[in-house]
Amino acid sequence: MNLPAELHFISENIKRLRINEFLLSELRRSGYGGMEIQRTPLGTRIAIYAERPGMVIGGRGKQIKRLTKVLEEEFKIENPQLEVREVEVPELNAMIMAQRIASALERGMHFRRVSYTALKRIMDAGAKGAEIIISGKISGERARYEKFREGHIRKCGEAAENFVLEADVQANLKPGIVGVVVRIMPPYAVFPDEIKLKEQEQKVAQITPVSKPEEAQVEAVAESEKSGDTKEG
Amino acid sequence: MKVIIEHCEPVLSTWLLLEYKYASKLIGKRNLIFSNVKNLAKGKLQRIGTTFSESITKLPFKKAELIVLDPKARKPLKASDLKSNPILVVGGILGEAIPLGRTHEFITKKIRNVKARNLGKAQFSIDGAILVAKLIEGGKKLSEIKARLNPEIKIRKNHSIQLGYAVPVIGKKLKITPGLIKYLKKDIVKDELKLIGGENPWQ
Repeated sequence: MNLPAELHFISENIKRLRINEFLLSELRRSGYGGMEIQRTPLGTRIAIYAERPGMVIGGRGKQIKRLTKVLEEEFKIENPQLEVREVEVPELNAMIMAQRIASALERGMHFRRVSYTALKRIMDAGAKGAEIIISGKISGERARYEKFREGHIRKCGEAAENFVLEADVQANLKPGIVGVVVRIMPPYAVFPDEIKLKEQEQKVAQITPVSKPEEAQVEAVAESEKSGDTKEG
Repeated sequence: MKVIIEHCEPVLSTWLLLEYKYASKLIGKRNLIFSNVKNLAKGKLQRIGTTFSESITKLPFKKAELIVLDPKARKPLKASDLKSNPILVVGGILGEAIPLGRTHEFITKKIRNVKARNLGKAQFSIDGAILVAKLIEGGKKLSEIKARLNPEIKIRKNHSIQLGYAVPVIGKKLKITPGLIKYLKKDIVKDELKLIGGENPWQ
């Protein structure tokens, strides 16, 4: 089918979104932390990030084989090669944190307590900033957005596009569906306005050659002669 | 101008009562009617207006006198609509962040051929909608009325609440429901504990 370029990219992104939603629903218990799709000459490589990779693979690779089959048959992915990677610091993964908040809300925990705890954990893990937004009919009839922020987080510009990790998960509560958005500014983020000063040693190294080494040597010899401290004598 | 608020929510929460109280203050107790009020809410609402247990769709008001404020209506509300001293019908609904069109479903659809008007693209709170209607009655055009969409209220150092509706701005002042900020900062926790249980998050 010949599609214009724009439609092709839209359909590819919709496909990516559907795969992400499918993996999220299937791997919620194993701490699903996002995925990456890469096209290779041999097929499509899908890297799944998870908190507990063993659960994604399953006993004798049963689970991963089933996922591969579904991705090939339902999502029409050519020769999918699934790769499971462990998330080293789950607190710095927006998807995992959003899921943790959503499941805590579903278990009936108070949303403010859950949000503050999650925010503290993210910041303790070394994040430069974090934001948690819980929206919907959280406690009552009027829908509202509860926002919890700490540290430094960018909403637009290069730093926001390149570094901010964002995840959106839904929690099913009694009054209705509640949205959970988590944004994390990771520790490795470099802001364009961050200025690094050159180290002091480099400055000293630049200054030294300017002094007159010959004069300094002559002065040292004169001093030693005055004191009579000569090896020969 | 008289206003009928069709109470559509199953309970009467503090937030809703604050909006009703401000609405009563805006147009006067004599001009405010609450319809579809069940026994539990009757006592509190009788202090701020007249109450009817029947729905507006069944009450014997003349259709020609009614104007339903419905976000789904095709035409905007104009001062000329309010010249004949009509009865405005407002849905007593605490809306969703993305409007579901419940005023249309519960009220406009059920009263055949009733006049319906909108207040622009933004969704207002109950008292906010009445305030905008009052300003239009006073001669202002809808396009001249300023409103801030989804204002954010700071609760603590790193916590804020964003409202899911527009709030009218008069002069440079945001006309937010009186008592709402205090309620959101302090008393909402008590209501939350009643509803969802658990421990006090501030302790």
